Amino acid sequence: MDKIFPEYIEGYGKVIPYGTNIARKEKINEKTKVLKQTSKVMTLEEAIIDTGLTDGMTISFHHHLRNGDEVMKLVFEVIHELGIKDLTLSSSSISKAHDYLLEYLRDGTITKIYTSGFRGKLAYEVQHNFALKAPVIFMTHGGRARAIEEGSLKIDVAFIGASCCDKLGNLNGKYGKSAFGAIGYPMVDAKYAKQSVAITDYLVDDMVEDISISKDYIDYVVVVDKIGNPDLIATDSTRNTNNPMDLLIARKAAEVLIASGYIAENFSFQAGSGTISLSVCQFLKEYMISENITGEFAAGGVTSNLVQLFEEGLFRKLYDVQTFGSDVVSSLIKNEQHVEMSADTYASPSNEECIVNKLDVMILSATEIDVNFNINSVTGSNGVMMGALGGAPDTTAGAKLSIIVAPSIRKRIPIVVDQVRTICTPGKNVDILVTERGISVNPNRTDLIKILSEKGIPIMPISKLKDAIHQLTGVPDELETGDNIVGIIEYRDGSVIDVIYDL
Amino acid sequence: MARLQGFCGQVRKCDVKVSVDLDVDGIEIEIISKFDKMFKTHMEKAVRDVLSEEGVLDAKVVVEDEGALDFAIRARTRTAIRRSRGV
Amino acid sequence: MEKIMRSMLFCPGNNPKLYYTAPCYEPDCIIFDLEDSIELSEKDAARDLLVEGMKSLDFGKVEIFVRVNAVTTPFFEEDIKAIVPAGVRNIRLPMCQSVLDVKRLDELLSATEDIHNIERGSTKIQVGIETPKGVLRTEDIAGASDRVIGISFGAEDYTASLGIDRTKKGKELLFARSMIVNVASMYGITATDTVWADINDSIGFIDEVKRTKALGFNSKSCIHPSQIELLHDALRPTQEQVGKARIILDAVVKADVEKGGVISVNGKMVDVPVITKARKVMDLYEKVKKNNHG
Repeated sequence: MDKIFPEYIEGYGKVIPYGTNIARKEKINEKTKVLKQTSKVMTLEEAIIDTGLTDGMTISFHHHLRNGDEVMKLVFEVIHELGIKDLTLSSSSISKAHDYLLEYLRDGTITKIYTSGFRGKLAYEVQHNFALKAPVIFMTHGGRARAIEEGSLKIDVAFIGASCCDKLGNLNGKYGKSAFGAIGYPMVDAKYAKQSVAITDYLVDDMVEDISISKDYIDYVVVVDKIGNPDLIATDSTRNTNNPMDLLIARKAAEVLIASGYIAENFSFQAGSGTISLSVCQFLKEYMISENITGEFAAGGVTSNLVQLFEEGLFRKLYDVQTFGSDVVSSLIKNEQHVEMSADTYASPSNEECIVNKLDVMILSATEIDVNFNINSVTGSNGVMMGALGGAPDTTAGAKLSIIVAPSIRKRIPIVVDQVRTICTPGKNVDILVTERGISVNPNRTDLIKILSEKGIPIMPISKLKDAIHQLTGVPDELETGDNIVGIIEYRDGSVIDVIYDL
Repeated sequence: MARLQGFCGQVRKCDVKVSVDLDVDGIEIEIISKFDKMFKTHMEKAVRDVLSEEGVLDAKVVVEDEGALDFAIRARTRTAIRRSRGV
Repeated sequence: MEKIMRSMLFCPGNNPKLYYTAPCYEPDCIIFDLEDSIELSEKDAARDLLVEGMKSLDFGKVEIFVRVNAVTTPFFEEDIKAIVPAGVRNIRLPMCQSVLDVKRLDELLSATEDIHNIERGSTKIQVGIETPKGVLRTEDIAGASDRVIGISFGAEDYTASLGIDRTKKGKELLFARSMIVNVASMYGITATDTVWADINDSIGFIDEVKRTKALGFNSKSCIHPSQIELLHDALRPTQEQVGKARIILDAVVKADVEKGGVISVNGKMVDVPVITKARKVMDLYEKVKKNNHG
């Protein structure tokens, strides 16, 4: 990886290139206990004014409500009314539901963005028409937690949407009409932001019993009509695919995993939410049952498939940082061993005991992977910002075995290339690629190459797989990009692993 | 279909619709595709190769592509030419 | 060695994506169809696509068959003249009803091979028996040319001709299937059973494969990738069968050397049909191992 970045980027600051050791393990102090004499409950406008939010500050949101989120909109409407400008927006992610933010970029309400994901019209305008002067800063879920904890991302006001909250500010995401499950991302915001505003559409009469975030971290409680659209929040994650290609790849991946020896008693496991990853779970289930294997825990992004495996006794514990599906929310409520976890417990590189470090197996998908196993999950092969970093760089760094499952061609686009457009997950942490056309193992895993060969799993060098795919698709033409940096990809430790140019 | 015009294929995933009009002067190729940034040169070449093989010197070819591989672009172009010729 | 033809995956010839995805499922054979799955107005498009596909794509270990249009159609000749030079070496001829059908194909193949300097006889024929008339004449049809390597049974048209319903248990197909299997055995060629249309009923599919295997079928046309693995599993000789076959064949080897003719295994006399069957079991087992298929 011989990428060269400027030493300093306007709108970002000093660039520390990936690979430089910048381990910073100190944390700033957690917020001191909030002791408010008067009631915390007030209108959104009153709350924002009371926080003293002014120009140039940093505000944060979470994306547990996914495409159904209404919280950000409500907050920005008030902020806009109040004429506050030059804000830094830090959201755990940004989806297509947030296209309206474009207006706030254009009029200077928002001048800087930190996020894990960026897509849709908003991303298009930023990349093609410089809707934002400063580059968008991409952080992984673990990296964001680390940055907040160590104070390099200082949040002035955290806005925390909660489906269930009491007058004191004890809240969760499990109950209420807009229930979304685990509220892992903003747990960090609540602890370290100067002030936190809980926004709920279900204010309970007495105290919330099942507390995800304690009143000790909440300064204000705002009640609104709805925090989100339930149809778009609770996505149906039980997507048991019938697509024969997905099943083919999933079955090959399961064979590889079984041959690797990592599916053994007490193993731990995480799978991304793509259909192929989920199908791998189903094949592994059969094996685990026949070999009488119980896993220690499964983690995620928790989907119905994972809950099913858990409830059938195949895993002892479920660690949940984000919940996909209302049936999964039910499990979170009723199953004691289905446990919510904060983003820092999940993946912060400052936390040696974080869950990703305990993972044996990680299965995920990718849009693009190169001959050095680097993965791109943020830009399409055409260079357009349309994805997210998510937790992949965290999980692949921590897991003992990371396996990518993907079709070798999507329409005409080859999944294996010489150099990915944007490095999001460094190749040294990616161990195996499984496609319908071939299986490749990272040369740095001589142990895996040996054991898979011994078990008769056919593997090929990734460059050979790339050639076979390019035989069909043709070698893509060189892409032209501009010279302006519109996005910065931070690795989980805060170093810069790649940048995104305008188009 | 008017004289000397023909088309073949469908605008559907991994396929291509190629429309040929032989009643023009010179060769003009128009590519309509989400994948043009990556594969425009390939698509044009596929069409040109077939025009050449079929001895076509004058044609306007419109390629409406949904990610078809070159072999499909060639095939659809060939069929479209044949149909334009009334064969 | 005979071609291994357990699974023949059916792919409509006018769908570009199938050309490069179907081989990934590792069927023994793929049949690209120019006949019933292609509407009349698209026969030319499918043919051109097949030709380009044959020229450009590498199908690896998969054997490619093409179901051309029947000899009675205006498309038949164009099909053969285009696809053979493009590299197609196996033709499934649908609706065979007489010796003349096969002879016409045989002659056209010879002429086409000659024009293009292809070794005469290298293009093979799988005759499609799909009507009562075809069933009754299977022996003559299958014997009409040296190119014939197999017989394929098509139950849809067959039952329609008889004016009966096609059922899952298939008792109404017994006569036709038996005829085909016997003729195939006589000529030493492959009998390929008809498609199972209900892709959601895998239990019914496996049941049919086992029933027809008991009749003598070791090959079947498939219409969905999910059927391939099920089929291969159901056709695989069991360890027990392989074990027994090995014992018999070992005894044969010993007998040839020592006793000259009479063989006994475990005190029992073993005669020629048993030995033949043991050979067939080992053959299938070895072929599958060699091809590294499922």
